Amino acid sequence: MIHRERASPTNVVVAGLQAFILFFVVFCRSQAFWQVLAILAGILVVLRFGDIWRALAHTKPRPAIKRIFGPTWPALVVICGLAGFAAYSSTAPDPRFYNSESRTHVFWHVLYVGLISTDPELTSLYGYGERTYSDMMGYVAVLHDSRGRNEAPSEFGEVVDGVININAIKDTGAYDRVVQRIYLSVVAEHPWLTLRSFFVGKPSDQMEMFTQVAALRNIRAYVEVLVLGLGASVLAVLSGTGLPQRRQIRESAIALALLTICSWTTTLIVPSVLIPDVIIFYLMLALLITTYLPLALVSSWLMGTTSPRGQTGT
Amino acid sequence: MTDEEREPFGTSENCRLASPRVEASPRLDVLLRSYVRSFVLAAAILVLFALSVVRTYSLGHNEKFYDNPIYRWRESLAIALSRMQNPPLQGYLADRSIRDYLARHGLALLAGEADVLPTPEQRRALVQDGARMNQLLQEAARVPIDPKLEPVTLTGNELGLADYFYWAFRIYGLNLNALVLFYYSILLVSVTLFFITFRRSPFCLLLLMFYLIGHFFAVNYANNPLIQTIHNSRFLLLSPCCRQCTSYC
Repeated sequence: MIHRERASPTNVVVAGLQAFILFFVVFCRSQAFWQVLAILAGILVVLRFGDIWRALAHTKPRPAIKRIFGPTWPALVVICGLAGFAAYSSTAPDPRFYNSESRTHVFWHVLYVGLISTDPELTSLYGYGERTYSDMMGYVAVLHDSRGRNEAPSEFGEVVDGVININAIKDTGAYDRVVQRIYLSVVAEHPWLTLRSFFVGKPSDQMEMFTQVAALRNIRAYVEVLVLGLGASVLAVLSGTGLPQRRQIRESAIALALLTICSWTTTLIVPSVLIPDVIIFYLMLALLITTYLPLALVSSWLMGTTSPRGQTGT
Repeated sequence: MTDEEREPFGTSENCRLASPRVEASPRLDVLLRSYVRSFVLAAAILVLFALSVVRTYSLGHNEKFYDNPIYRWRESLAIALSRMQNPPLQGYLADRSIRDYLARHGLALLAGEADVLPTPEQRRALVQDGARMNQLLQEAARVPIDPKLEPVTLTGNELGLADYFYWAFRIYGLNLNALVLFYYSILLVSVTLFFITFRRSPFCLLLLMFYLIGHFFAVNYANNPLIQTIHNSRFLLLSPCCRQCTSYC
């Protein structure tokens, strides 16, 4: 989008194929949805709202439409993909067997476990002695809620000898709805602790989790990455990649900020080390800063010019 | 390198800039040089792609499943194998005969799924033994189907993994290696599409190279006990990163 490729038939077909792959992966792992958000957020970077507003103010819908759809067509392809994905997800599973069930990962359960695990005060109030980040936190919360109300959920609860028990796997959709209610009641009751969980607990737990992964402490792996990154940057600079222009720097900064925000989506739901795509994104960013930018600077300095026509992508 | 040479290579813009001022042979020279650069960048991208493939095979990801989480892939596998039957079972349902066969032969997770519930260590030993798993796959695919049994669903998980297994087995045969081959097929398609779109932008190709370097790093990361193999759906997040770059380039 930032490169402002034209919407030629080839480009649209290629973007369509990429969108298909993207949604196939989202269908396999809903965590990948942050990448869809990142693409849609790109609209904010390329749209010139002032121009559109002026065109609309002069009652010229055609130029306004051109200004909206011209640069954002890749996002539109993704929106079409999203519509197709939603339609397929709701129709493809056999409705006789999947009707009452959650067809994807439980969402509120994960959000609840993430909320309670990342704030010590919430853990002591609602953790019921369970291990932080364990699924049991959600199950036990629903069990306590059901017993507190003296009401076994009809979809997944049962009463044996006067004691209420639950089996979430019987109907994960109904289970997730109960967790949603409990989650919202916790948020309403403890707004400050919720904020603290989101802005302090989750980011710090994420960092803590990363430090415990052996693969991320392997210095040799980083050396490999750095050497390969250096080689790639040399090739790119020799191929004519110069320093970005001021406008490109501004747009890239906004795009990178949006990407970074979107990449935090998973962490803000529940901190996890199972986010290799986010790790790759940060590695790419680090390589840009440590290898490409210094090389491009040196190259420009050696040539005695910052090359106003220097070709860059973002 | 002159300033003019730093323009995007091989673009029609380059040719337009050059045509009024230069004769045929320098223009040919520019074109030739741009093709050489394209070729070198494409070769570098292929090498980086190959590095990930080689590392994947050297780590043995093509010879094992993962034991975390088993439920998701066991049911997905049963759904994929059921779809490969004649007639196929559609609607993301698994023939209970197939699912029960898998459960009774070492993949039981809950009481009642097998006469004797295997220990986590026994399950781990099975899923990491490529030969036994390949045999189990072959046998499960041939198990007689009892149509009277109610089908099995995959509860509370994404259904796409069943499609992943189905297409991997359809294209590359019923074995564990098919899962790795299918993964890299998707990645190769994604990389190729990216290259086609941005072949004239060395900067975008640099981003693609950075992505592949990151992927090379991530293959090592996949050895994490919570992932274990690149065909774990927890790792399948990777392929569309190229799409992400496409959108931002």
